[in-house]
Amino acid sequence: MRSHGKIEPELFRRADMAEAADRETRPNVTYWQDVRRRLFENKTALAALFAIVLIVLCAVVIPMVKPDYYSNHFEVSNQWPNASYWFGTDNLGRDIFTRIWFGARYSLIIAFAASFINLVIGTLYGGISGYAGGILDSVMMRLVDIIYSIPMTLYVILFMVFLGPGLHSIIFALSVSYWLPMARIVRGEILQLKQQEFIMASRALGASDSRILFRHLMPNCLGQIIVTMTLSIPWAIFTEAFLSFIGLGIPVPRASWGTLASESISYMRIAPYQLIFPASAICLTMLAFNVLGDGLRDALDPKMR
Amino acid sequence: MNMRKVPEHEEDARKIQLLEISHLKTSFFTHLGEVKAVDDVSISLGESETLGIVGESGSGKSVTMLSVMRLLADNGRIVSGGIHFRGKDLAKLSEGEMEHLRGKQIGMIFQDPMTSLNPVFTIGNQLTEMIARHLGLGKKDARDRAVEMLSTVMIPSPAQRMRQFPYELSGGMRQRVMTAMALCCHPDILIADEPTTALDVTIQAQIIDLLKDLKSRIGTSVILITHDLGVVAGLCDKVCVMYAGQVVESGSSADIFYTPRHPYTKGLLKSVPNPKKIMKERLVPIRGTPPDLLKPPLGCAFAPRCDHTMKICILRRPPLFEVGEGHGASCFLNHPDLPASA
Amino acid sequence: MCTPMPLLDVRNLKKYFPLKRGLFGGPASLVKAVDDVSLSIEKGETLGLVGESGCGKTTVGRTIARLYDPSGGTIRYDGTDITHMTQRELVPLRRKIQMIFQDPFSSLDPRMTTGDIVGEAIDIHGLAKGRERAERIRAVLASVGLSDWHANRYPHEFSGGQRQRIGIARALVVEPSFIVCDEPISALDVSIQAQIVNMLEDFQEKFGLTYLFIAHDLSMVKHISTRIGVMYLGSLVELAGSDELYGNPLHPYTQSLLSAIPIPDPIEAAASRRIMLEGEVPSPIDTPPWCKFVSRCPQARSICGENPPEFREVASGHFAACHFI
Repeated sequence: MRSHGKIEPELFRRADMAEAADRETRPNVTYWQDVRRRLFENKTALAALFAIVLIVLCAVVIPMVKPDYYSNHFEVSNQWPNASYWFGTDNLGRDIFTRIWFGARYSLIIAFAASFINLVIGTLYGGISGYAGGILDSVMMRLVDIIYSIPMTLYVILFMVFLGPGLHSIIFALSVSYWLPMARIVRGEILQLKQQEFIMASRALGASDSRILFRHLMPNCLGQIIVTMTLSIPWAIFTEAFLSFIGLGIPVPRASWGTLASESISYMRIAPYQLIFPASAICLTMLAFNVLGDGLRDALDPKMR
Repeated sequence: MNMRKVPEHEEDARKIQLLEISHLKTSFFTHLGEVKAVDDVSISLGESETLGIVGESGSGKSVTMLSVMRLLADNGRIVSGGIHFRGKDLAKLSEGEMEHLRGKQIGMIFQDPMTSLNPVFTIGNQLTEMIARHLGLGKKDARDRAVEMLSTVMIPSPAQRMRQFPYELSGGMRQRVMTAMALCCHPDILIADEPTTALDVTIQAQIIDLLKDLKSRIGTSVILITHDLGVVAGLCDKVCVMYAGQVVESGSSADIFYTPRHPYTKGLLKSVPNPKKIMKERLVPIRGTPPDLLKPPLGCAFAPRCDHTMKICILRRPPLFEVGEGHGASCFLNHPDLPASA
Repeated sequence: MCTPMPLLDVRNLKKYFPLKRGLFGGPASLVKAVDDVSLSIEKGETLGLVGESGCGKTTVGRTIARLYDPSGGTIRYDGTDITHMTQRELVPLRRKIQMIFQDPFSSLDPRMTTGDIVGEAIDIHGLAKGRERAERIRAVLASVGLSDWHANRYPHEFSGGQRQRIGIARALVVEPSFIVCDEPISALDVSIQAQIVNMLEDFQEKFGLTYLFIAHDLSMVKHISTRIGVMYLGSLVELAGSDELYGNPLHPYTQSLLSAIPIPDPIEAAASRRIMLEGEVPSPIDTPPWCKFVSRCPQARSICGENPPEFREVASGHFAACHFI
């Protein structure tokens, strides 16, 4: 037998463990604090978030400092980027740097507005469809399938032709078509959550349908909704750019990124920078939103816990 | 009373241990800090022995065996200690050598057989592929061996089962297939991690019988990880009780069930009702909850829940006291200096 | 029987789930989850319901708690027929009949604090507001052994046993008289199971609660129940006082089920003989009109494949459904 060392008899006295029984050991961490930590640990997503904040800030501030985006200065037309015109000038001598940030305003307003509307419609539609289930769900989802079967761009174009170009019509056209994926995702989430025992428990307590839907189901879908919305913003930016590019966008002299790119096409040979800057703006913004969306997905995914 | 029966092979087992885990420490590194999932665990297993590792969730029983198999999650790491399999230190083998060893010399079956089988291949496909790879047999021979293995685990009409996909089988059948897969290369050790937990009582009884039968027919050493004392009692020669990443008591099955020397083991035994008793007795639960392994207690991990806590228990971690032949308990109540009054 | 009218009386309860067979699959087949179950529960007793997965025990519990609409039969609670009440009509009854769920991880809303989870019932039934509400939450949490500061925590911060305590607190806060306990301990660790079982027993004694205790762990059911019902494929096969059922099981299924319990004692385990059942539980889809146990029954004879056995009283208070009793 091994020797275990001498222990004074005093140490064999009974110890009172009662005071140690109940203590707060870990800090109180809410789900959202946890999400934030995971998001901030993801350096790429953090950089994307930073880029988006920077773009939005520039879009707000720079047009205030340099309000002139429309007057023509033929004496400085088609200047390559230089000290006074950082991004050069276009064929009418307008400063591209200023116009890019004005364009950012339009592109971002359109993207945010369309995503917000698609959030509201999609969440409600998907939520009701998923929660109701049965025949109503089947009918609502077949309707989504039918709308889905028509290429979205096609009827965005139809709407634009019908309504005429303009900020409102673009937002309208985008939002009526882009809620479909949101509705499907929310419905899928709700269907899954509906089977969880905490929904049963709530019903056993006598909770009403609207209480279950808005107090339990929706908050638990929030993560997915945020991810889907973040990922739908770049699509809205892209579609808007595409529409403007084919001449269905914001009317001149105002311009979104798509319009800027479209205008510069004719001068591509002599002034490629006129295309490069708006195109990069579109690409970078889309990239940032996509990366952020992916980061959010990872941060919100409860399976990663 | 001492019901210990000395197994015939005990003397051999003393000399060469098949598997010798010594002072193993495995930790998971999370953003909150180091979780000491396995903290200084020593376990040995002899040839054709059946060892039960009993513990609750978070006791480190599965992590110990996953460390042996070197199948830890990405943030988990063997911090120190040795895992000697026939004298070879598994902790130091390369991933390639380990891959060769897994399945061939050490087989493992898991709690959820559905997730351990590949859903897009047939049972036959998976078995044959595995046999061909590990034993270097040809297609035909591997197939024959697969059918033979399926009948070894008592699967009716094995030739037909070969063509089925995992989802076509019930839980009990899947567990049999997993067992067949783990046994097909005649491993020296079969590690069964909660093999019956997901199954119904009658199916659980079938699987326990199967393991018992395989043990006597094939002579494989079995390590059974479970939280169910009933399963251990029916199957194991030796038992290790784990708590908060440590072995608190180990000994023969009879030692653990009839003369437990650690308050946790005693508590576990008292908290399960014995259905044979007619008189209804109130259950004696262990109060409180297991410790947070991020901040394990300084002394004995069980001290906050123990009814016999002494001052020493809070200050020092109890070593494993040898209380009988092959029976150890890490509790200061077994210290030779313990005054009779305590 | 000591009281003339049981607290809960279930007659010929049926719950069928239609099974879709695709778009043009023809007539849908039925999953007969609960098929003709009759039982009654006296005030203050615990009726245990055991059976293997898929036997319909959970569905019985949920249908009695009217989380599902029954497909047939009647459910009377305290003399009132609640079989066809609408969800709105059921709201006052929800204060009387409560549920405790199996999975301590999915039964609590992960986005709500403990206080709000427990407080939800208070809000729904308008029982208290403001400080009184907070006080009630504190009191009920204390009664299940949780402290004040636990009320601001989220479910993921608790261990399984603590979560189950929260689930019990949620059921208790409306002061019910009948609780359906749907496998409340099967997801818990052994040392915690006894804590929860003792707590349930204490509450039963203190508040005169009546339990329907659903489980697959036969030894725990034996411990907590006054009487026990054994279910197989949607039907009750045997129902008796718990000591009677364990001491003198009559139905071959009960016999094999009891013999399959792992005994935490090596010598007894070695000595005990198991009645092994062949195969596994058949699918509950389109079950045959004769004895459902016939495919696995070690005593099956030709009559078993022709007529369904009647669920009858074979001894005082001992019911069984088998042709050979």
